[in-house]
Amino acid sequence: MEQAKYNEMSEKLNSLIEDGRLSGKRILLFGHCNATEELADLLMSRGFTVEAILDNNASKHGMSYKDIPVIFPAEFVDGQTDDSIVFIVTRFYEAMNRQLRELGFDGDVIKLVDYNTYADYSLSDETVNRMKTRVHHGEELTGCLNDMYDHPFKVFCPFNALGDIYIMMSYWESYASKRGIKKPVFCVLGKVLSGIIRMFGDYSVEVYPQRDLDSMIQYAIYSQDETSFIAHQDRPYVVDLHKALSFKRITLEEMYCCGVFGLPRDTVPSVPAYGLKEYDGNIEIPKGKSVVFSPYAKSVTAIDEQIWEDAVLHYSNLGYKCFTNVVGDEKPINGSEPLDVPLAEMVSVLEKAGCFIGIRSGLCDVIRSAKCKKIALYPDYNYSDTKWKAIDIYSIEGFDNIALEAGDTWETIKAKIQ
Amino acid sequence: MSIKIFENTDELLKEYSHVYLLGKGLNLSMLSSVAEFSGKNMLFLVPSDCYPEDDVKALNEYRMISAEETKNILDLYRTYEFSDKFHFLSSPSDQNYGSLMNYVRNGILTEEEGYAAMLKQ
Repeated sequence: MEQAKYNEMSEKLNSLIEDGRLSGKRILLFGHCNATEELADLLMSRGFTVEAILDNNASKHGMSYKDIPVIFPAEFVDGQTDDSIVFIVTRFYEAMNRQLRELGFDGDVIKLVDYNTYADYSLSDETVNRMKTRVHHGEELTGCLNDMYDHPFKVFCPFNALGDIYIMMSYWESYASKRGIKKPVFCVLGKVLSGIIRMFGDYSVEVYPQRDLDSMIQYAIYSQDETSFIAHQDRPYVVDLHKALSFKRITLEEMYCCGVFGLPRDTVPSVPAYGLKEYDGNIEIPKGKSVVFSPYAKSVTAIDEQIWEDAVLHYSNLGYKCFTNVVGDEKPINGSEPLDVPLAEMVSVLEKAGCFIGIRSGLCDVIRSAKCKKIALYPDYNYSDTKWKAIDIYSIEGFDNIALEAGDTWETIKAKIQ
Repeated sequence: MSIKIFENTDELLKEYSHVYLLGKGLNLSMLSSVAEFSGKNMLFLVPSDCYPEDDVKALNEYRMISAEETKNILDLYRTYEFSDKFHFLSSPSDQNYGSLMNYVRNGILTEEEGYAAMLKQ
């Protein structure tokens, strides 16, 4: 979970605790995902017990997180619910809340993080007027952008994810060429994303807070502005591409190439030729004798620490110098050195090191073009609520793509690496 | 937007598990064929200025709506996500975001799969 979202969740939870809203309540969480696990950790660190995680995905049943079982919502509502409180930290709050109500639950259902400003399942005058005001706000912001750049083509990137932005950009040039778009302005949620876009060219990029960007996107939808494009495979609500996954396995690249941009399947993706930089840090990286580990991902279930530590020990014993790619206060794996380098220098670092081993995250996309041994590890989870595993959707050409299974250790993983 | 439309929309969303507003350019015979097998309690709102009623009679449950009603409800849909049971079905090649029909045009999905996906929840 992003730090800002974590802070939002933590502050709302603190406020509820101070108001006594959790006293004597059975606590349940709805939606088993990385953010929910972080909330469970937060609650447990404050001395609360989480009774269960509710989830509609049958493949998750029988699973548990730190002894918290994953169960169907109906199993919970069939029991005693009067003294219960349900927390939701996914973007599907509205649908989940409605489901619980339809099942007969009348207790508190609390949204701790506002992931989805587009949705409010109400047609009350108050809601409609509030949403109209939001569209108007988006119109004003878009007007300012039009004034600033003399009516540019606007590309809205609604989600803060490195991998999505990288893949989107790798097909942008073909799309822009097809439509004759000359000077786009990309609108994103953070400076890091801005850096990814500029790896692909000398593009104009504007960074907005989530609520402002969402308002501008809503205005683009409302006005059907032909000089705007929403460049995401899954957001906001008007985008229906995910429904195809019921019928076919479609890779993330195909989602962007064919689904978002409408380009032919054989379109060749661009590689970032513009903004990559040589590593100019002070850390000595023995050429061809180093391994860079990347164990952290903000939206993927973590891989057991022991696996990373055993991997570091293995390569250290072979004479390799081991590094952990860290950002901010992330800790290096025991036995490795921290390595905190700008994304634009990461390809250079890896080409020097010779080997990368990471959990499948957006960073793996950013380093696609590095000429070195690259290994991506995929925790065992399904992509969204589909039948497809993460590796089915996210596997990357040029990597050893390794699917992890329950009980895997470094020894069993090592045996899968080519 | 008239209050009448909001009230009707609310009622329709309670009555049906899914409500689909049809946009222009759809293959209605394919849509009705796929809808027939989906087995859901669904209603199609059909703009009378887009499709003659004779062409939509194969749809199990439908309601013809005027151009003004279409505009009102589309404006509402484009203002925010007021329900996950309301859907706008269209087949544009020029909209400003991705579309299932792009998969059909590029051979990722067959046309039948594309229409079935549209109705998939």
